Amino acid sequence: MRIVFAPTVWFVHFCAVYILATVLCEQLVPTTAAATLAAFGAYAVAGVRDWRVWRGAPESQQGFLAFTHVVLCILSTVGTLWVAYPVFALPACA
Amino acid sequence: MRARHEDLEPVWRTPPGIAALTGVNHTTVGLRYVVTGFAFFLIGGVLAMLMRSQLTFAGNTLLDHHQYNAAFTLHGTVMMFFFAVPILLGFSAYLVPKMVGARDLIFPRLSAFGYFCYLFGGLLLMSSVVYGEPPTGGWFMYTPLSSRPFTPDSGPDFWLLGVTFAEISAVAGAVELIATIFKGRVPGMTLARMPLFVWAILVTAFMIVFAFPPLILGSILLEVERAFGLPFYDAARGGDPILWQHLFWLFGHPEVYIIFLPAAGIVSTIIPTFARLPMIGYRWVVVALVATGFLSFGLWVHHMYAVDIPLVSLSFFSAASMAVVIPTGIQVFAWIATLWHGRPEVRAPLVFVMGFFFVFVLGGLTGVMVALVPFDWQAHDTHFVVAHLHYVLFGGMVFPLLAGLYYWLPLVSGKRLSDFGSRLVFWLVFVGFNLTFLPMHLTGLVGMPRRVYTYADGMGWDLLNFISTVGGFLTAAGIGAFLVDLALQGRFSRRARPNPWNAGTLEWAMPSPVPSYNFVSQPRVEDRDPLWRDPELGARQQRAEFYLGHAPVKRREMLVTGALSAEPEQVAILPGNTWVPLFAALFMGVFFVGVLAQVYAIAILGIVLAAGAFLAWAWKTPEGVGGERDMDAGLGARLPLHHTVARSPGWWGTAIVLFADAALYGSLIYAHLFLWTVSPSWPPPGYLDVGFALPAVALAILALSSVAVQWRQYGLAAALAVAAAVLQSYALAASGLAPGSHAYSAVVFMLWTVQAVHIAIAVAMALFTLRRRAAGYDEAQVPAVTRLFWHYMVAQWGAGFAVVHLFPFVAA
Repeated sequence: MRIVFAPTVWFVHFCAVYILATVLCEQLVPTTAAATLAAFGAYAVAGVRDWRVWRGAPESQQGFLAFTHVVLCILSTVGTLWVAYPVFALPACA
Repeated sequence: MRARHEDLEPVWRTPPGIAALTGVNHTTVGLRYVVTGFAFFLIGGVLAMLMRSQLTFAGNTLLDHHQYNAAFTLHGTVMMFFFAVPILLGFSAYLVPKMVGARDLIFPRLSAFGYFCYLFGGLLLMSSVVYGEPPTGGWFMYTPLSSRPFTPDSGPDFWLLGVTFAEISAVAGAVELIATIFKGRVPGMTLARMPLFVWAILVTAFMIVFAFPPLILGSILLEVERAFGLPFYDAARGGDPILWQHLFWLFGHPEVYIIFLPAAGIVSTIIPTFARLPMIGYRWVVVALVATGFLSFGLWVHHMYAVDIPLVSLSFFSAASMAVVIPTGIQVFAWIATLWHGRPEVRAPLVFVMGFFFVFVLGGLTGVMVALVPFDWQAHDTHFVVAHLHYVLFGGMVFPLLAGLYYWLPLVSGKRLSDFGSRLVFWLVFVGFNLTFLPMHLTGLVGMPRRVYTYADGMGWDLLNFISTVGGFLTAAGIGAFLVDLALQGRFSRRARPNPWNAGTLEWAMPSPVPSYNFVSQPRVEDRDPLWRDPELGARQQRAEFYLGHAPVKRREMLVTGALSAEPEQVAILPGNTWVPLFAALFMGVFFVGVLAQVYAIAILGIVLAAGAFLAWAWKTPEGVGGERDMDAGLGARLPLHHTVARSPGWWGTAIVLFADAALYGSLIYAHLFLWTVSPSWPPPGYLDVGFALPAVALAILALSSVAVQWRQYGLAAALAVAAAVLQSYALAASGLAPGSHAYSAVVFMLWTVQAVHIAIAVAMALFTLRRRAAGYDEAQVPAVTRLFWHYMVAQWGAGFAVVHLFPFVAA
């Protein structure tokens, strides 16, 4: 079930920043930035790979799942960005 | 020779009279869920009318504050746990097999067992009213109000035990549905061709598997605290009442989507039928369903904005709440696009869908408002929130439910639907609902808190409350009209032709009312809307042109296909009607009543009897000793019978149960870590001497048992597991850990107790497998299931050990 990869990364990132915010204070901004970039990297790699799968065989079941995952990668990118944003917008240790 | 109705019906039907209680057929069980769920809807509705009546005038004395507290607690509990989730599970149990072309759910006894658990759980909860101690702590039963010192009566116990009993049924239903969707789809129905309702149920079922265990665990912990004094939520002894809120809402927010997604699935089924057009943006809707399923697990704290949590943490949940709007929006626009491009025929079910649009979108908009932290701080615990949640739940679930009931009524009754009555019902409910809850936004904004049993006049709340009460009774009249309409339709409507709506999905490929076996032969499909591609499919499957259409019919046979490929893999021999599920649920009920009455001998008796029933359940399989190992499934396919295959439906079911199990244990580990973060010293001084050596040896022995099981040395594995359990228990006992003294020792005690229960189950499974082999069964399924559970059990203690022993050891 490859299609749950991107949303799982979103959830792991979400839990990671939630836990980081609980245990860290000053170090929250750089750690969150690192976690967010890592998540973006994962979406990019998986998204590009599945984009190729989908373009190769758009009507097959593989193509269907690949397309679904590409869109989920995009959605997860937005979700990750939004979740990480408050860390950079709010004053430290808010 | 081809099978006919007369051959199949005697094998598949549910017997009449008292023996109907033995029925396991999904059509029977699904309808039972729907009827029982609707009965609870009426009970919850009566409670709502009591509350509305009380609030009609300032200073009204119809209910006193205690009765009012009981009314809103039971109203919320009944509507969420005993109406919304079960009735949608009933819908799914009834429809999913028919939509994927299966003859039944793949674990028929589990569906019957789940229903009885739900029924008995509901009766247990409602018996609190008869007993005179109904729960009064609100449907989310917050600690410390629900802890023993502040609620010494049995109200919370009725709630905790009744709800947990019913949640067993929800998890059972979810396991059943996932396994059926993965392994029971007819050949050709790849994931890309699966009806959107089935997609919605697949996502929902997975959400249940992960979302219900946190609440089950939270309830167990609270009941253990109330009954035995282990301090999980008691701040004076290292616990934290906020832990309950986290565990509750870890369940509670996904719950909203567990209710909404099946309803969205109903909408995605009805709209293409009446628009005469395949769903536009099918793939996008699938994306939206999967995304919602995940995002909904990142929202739970938005119910807790008023709790003292750092602002940056609150913002994460606010952001996630914004993000979940996107997939919901995708679905709404896909529905609008389909209606826009089609030629909609406005029949009763579509009218209710229109009502859903209006109400649900408004609820979504106020949802965005309360997802914002500053606004929520203003509106928190006011009637604004009550109005918002009813717009979401009534709009998002009750309107689609009524649409679905009317849409599939011809399938159940075989009668044509007349539109007049249903339109009257719609307008009564629609006007009544909006009259109740639209003014209630204002009631909240001008400051009326929720859950107050009365108010003084002159606060500006009088007229608004009066209007809400009038609207409430109009809604009730609408629901009454629905029941009358249903009775009239059943009595006076003419017979419907097959597929009266010209729908494209497979459930309409069978005659109505539907036969107990669903399909004379299980078809192969080539399209998302198989009946639009081949309108003759229904007639062809009844002429037994497809799989398993042979005669004579001796037993319940069903095709099992590949989870992704949907190509024929096995033939499952399903069990027939049996008393075992009823008795298993009854004995579980004995356990719950024993705990409730605090007569633990009865509770233990219940557990022993239930264990016996489960053993009988596992032993009495339809395939028997020896006999055939494969069979001709028709269309040139010769397939193995399911018990000869390691990756049988039973293996899949076990794997899904283990996800739920891992979510339960994970929640317990979360509780441990959460209490650690809020505690000034964790473990508290003097608790560091549990020691590391003995538990490490015990873990090593347990790991060895996994190797033994893999080599099929079940006796040796059982002996090793028992030795590990004894060693670990001794290590904990020798350290003088007193579970009642501090939250730390209480959580450690629970982590080990839950593990010990797993070890006991694993040992029982190993001995069962040995006994089965000795009795001459030649099967792959039972050993495969035992191995799977065993390895999970060992891995689980690996995690438990890391938290309990390794972490303090390394930290020290």
